[in-house]
Amino acid sequence: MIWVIIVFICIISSGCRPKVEAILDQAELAGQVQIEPDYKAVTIPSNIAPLNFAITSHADRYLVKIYGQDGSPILLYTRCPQIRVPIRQWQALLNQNKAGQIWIEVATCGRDRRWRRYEPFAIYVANEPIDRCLVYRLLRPQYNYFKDIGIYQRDIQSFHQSCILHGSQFRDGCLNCHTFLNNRPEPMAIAIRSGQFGSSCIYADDGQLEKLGTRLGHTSWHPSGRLLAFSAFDVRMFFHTARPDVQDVVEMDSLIGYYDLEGRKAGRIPGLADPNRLETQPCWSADGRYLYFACAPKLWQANKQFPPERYAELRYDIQRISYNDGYWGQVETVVSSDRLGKSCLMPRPSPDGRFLLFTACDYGCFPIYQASADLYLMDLNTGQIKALECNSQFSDSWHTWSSNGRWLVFASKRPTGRFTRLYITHIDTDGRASKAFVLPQADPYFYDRFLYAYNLPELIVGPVRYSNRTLVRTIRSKRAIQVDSITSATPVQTQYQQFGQR
Amino acid sequence: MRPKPASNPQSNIGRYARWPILILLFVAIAVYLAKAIEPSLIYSSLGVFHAYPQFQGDRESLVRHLSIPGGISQLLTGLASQWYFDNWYGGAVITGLLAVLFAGMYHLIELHHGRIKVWPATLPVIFALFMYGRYDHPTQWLISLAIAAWAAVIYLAIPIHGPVISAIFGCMILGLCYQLIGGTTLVLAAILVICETAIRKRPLVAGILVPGSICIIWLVGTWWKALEPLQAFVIASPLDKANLAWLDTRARWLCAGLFAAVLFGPCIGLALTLLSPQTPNSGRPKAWLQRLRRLADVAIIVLICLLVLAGHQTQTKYQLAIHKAGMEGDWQAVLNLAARIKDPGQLTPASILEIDRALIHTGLLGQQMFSYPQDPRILALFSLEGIGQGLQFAKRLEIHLDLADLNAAEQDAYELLEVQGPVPFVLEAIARIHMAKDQYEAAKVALQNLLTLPGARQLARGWLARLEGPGGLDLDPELKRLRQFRRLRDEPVKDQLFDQILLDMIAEHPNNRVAVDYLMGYYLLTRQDEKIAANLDMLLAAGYTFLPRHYHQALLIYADRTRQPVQVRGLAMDSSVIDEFSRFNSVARSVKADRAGLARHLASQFGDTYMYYYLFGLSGVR
Repeated sequence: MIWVIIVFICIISSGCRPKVEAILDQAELAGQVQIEPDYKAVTIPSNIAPLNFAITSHADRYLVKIYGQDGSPILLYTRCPQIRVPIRQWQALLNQNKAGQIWIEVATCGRDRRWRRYEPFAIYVANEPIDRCLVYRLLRPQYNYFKDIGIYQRDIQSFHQSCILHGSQFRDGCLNCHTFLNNRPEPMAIAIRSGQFGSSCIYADDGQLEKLGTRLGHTSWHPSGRLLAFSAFDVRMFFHTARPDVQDVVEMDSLIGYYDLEGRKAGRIPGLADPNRLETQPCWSADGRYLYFACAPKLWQANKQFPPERYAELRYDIQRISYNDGYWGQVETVVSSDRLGKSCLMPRPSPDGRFLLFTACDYGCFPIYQASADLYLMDLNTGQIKALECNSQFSDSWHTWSSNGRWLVFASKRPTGRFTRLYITHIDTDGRASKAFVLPQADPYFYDRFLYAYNLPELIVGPVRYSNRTLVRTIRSKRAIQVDSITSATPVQTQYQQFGQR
Repeated sequence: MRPKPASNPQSNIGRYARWPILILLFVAIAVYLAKAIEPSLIYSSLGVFHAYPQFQGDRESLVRHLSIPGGISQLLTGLASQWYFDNWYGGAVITGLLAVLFAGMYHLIELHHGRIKVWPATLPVIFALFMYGRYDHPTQWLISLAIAAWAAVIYLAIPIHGPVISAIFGCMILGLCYQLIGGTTLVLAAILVICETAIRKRPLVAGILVPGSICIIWLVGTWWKALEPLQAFVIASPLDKANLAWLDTRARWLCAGLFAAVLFGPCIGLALTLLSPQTPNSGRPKAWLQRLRRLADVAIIVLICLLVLAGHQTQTKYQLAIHKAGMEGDWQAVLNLAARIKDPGQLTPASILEIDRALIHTGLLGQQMFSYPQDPRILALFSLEGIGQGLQFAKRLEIHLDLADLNAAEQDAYELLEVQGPVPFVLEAIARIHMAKDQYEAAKVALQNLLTLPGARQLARGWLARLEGPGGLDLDPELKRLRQFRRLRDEPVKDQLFDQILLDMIAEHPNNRVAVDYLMGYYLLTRQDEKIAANLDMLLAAGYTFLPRHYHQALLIYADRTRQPVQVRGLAMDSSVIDEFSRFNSVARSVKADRAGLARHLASQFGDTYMYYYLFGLSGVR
């Protein structure tokens, strides 16, 4: 009897559902549909989670048809404006329309019971997939007390997010740079600062977790996995009285060093610990022949005034130093700040070695706090530089390449100007960027009320295997590899750590 | 077959009358909470005087809370506290929690075979009422203890034979409870151990439960959840560092009492049962004994009511009410409440600041500032040491919003967001700041969060509607003021004294009267009469047409001290101020007493003058 009732209800309910095709054929056309987030005409990887969206026009009922040249269309009928696409159907549709496009058609029915159809919009499906996982830091827009900072990983194919490490697990510690080698989940390095457990760097390789008894700033793995280039800096924050971005940062002093994992020793890189210059943000080229970094002349005397008087005149060049099996070559300038009239930062060579992606902003070394920050791409073969097409009027920075060099993930403050979100863009073989789209979430309204900021995205091909508790235990452990401070004309490492503490 | 006890009509009446009386009692408690305690005062103090219990109904928040021991009790606390915005809703929620705890204790005592159940079950309720009377916000402990009490009831009510199975079942319940209520599980473990030892006479089960509970907490807390060992045992309990910091000494003792009342409640019930005079098995109970019991019951009820009422701290209530009215910008209410405080010496720095803000906004600072106790540090961005981050940032936020220093206010609001979470007033401030800075999308993020909170939903809807409509924001006078006086010149914030910051602001907007009053108030408090004389022109630019009393008094002091005349152009003066100054001088010179004696002598007549403050460094209306 129960089964009869259930079957009856199913028949009745399916009978009540509108015939989508008929509606779409008969409905009057009502112009362009407004959706949020804006996924219209974006290029997406074929392995991305559904682009769930919300229809901004008010209606009683909504019909959505998602279709491509191949594959069966996805038909959705709902009474709420949030459109949540079933993940399996979505993935099947994308797989069948690789290197093509899919269309989304929306119809709404208001209180007058008349259906209105909107012009369908296209989404381009690229042939190249994106790396499966995205690792990023989530924190409050202001984080001076390290109350709620965590490093998370997100499966891009689904909406699953997990915490790799959270600062509350080691008494409100700070987590900063996390680095992976060639988009692989291992080896990895995470720098931490903790009042209780000290500043250190956790690195994982071959299933082994080690704790370095010193903090390494921005880090980058040499492709051999034997060398870790890092910058050590005296970074300080200050605030502005009137400009839209309240916070600002100056690196009063900085240098670049390296840590040799086999020899377990740290050292200076010749020419990159100049007391009269600021060297920071190292990044290895994919072939390991060059170490790229940002460099600027120091415009002030040691720590006399903060912020220094000429902080707004500080412009970094992008330089590189060659490296060959333990031997360092000459430093050469790749992008001069004079060329763009901007401070050029965060060099990231593409995995195929053809492009160099960097951020340029008005001054200084911290583009996230400057609305002028934009992404630029340099063709290393021709030396041509251009601003990426996906830039916005807000800060665009903290970029990362996918392992196939076709996708970029970067942090952008659009559209709020305050809360940083992660955006994805496709880079074609000529270096053209597609329209960027925000990292999709299960709830289309997710970003509307998300009070955290994303930064430091890193794409990796698989998830980090180390459990949260294993990492925490390593941090809390008293066993650490002691590293001699790098002594040079610039302040020593321990001094930097003290300066870095807030 | 056991013989049925002889029916006792009087005891039946008592049994049936008990429940209506208890319902009446809890209704009375609800009324007391709503009318006397006013949970809305607790609501407005969250994130400032109490930790803000975060509650967001989204999936991420639920997952985050589920992943930590005690997270559920924190989540429920957040959920319950959201309803404190309204006195009646708040009273009903607290009464509901008290009733659940009472019912749990009642059943627990019943399962311990205690005949006297009501009084021991009422003990935790009394402690909780004491805490609410002190505005200690013990909601999380109530929830945790209620869950612990009911978990114990479930354990004892399910008949399981065999000590090992019982112990395993007990350990399962303890593990589940640890995830729900964190370190308070130890109270549950103690209840179970006491019951198994003393009531059920199963020392073996108790013997397994003791190491079992420790092992479970150790395993779940330190191994699975990677907590530090000590943290694993105290997490989400009053001993947790995050909670302990918000409890003063008395609150800690009351908390200990609350926990002890739950822990030993069954034992007390049993002890009272054993100690109570037994009625003879045959015949009716003695009338005098029944009368004595009733009298004792009435006396205890009266005593408890008196104690609870005596424990209600009306001074704290007024100060919280001042804080709430200040946050809402109801300046007249602030001044009315300040007038109701009998002993001004008990005003906290936070209350004095609110009173000063009320005087500034009503234009009375120069007239009445020293009619209230003052502290030289009050207006200097609330730079008092040893006060909580929440209070410090909240008050700085208020000051910066008063001054329309939007970037500084934004910094404070986001610091609060970091240290306290999305507190309603912080979200409102963030929204307001971003709207004043024309950053509407950022404002919407804060407003969308406010929409999820029942106490702020209406406000958020109103703002969102205004954001959508053209020119909707121009109608708001406060927003208009913030935009009018916002900082124009961008430069790095330097480590400056408060007056220099204010001077910079006034240089940009000479008509920013609030900034001028803050500056003058600061000079008065720091006894810089020469600065008041030097910056007198600012009063004219700010729209003053007369010289306020205290500024006038400061000028008289300056002229008297330096023997230099002060040019006062364009400001009307009150001659009675000069008379008062002369009288003060003559009385001060005529009294032959030590400094303390002189202060006492002058306080009665000149306690509210600036001369008194200038001479003794404090207001005479202490």
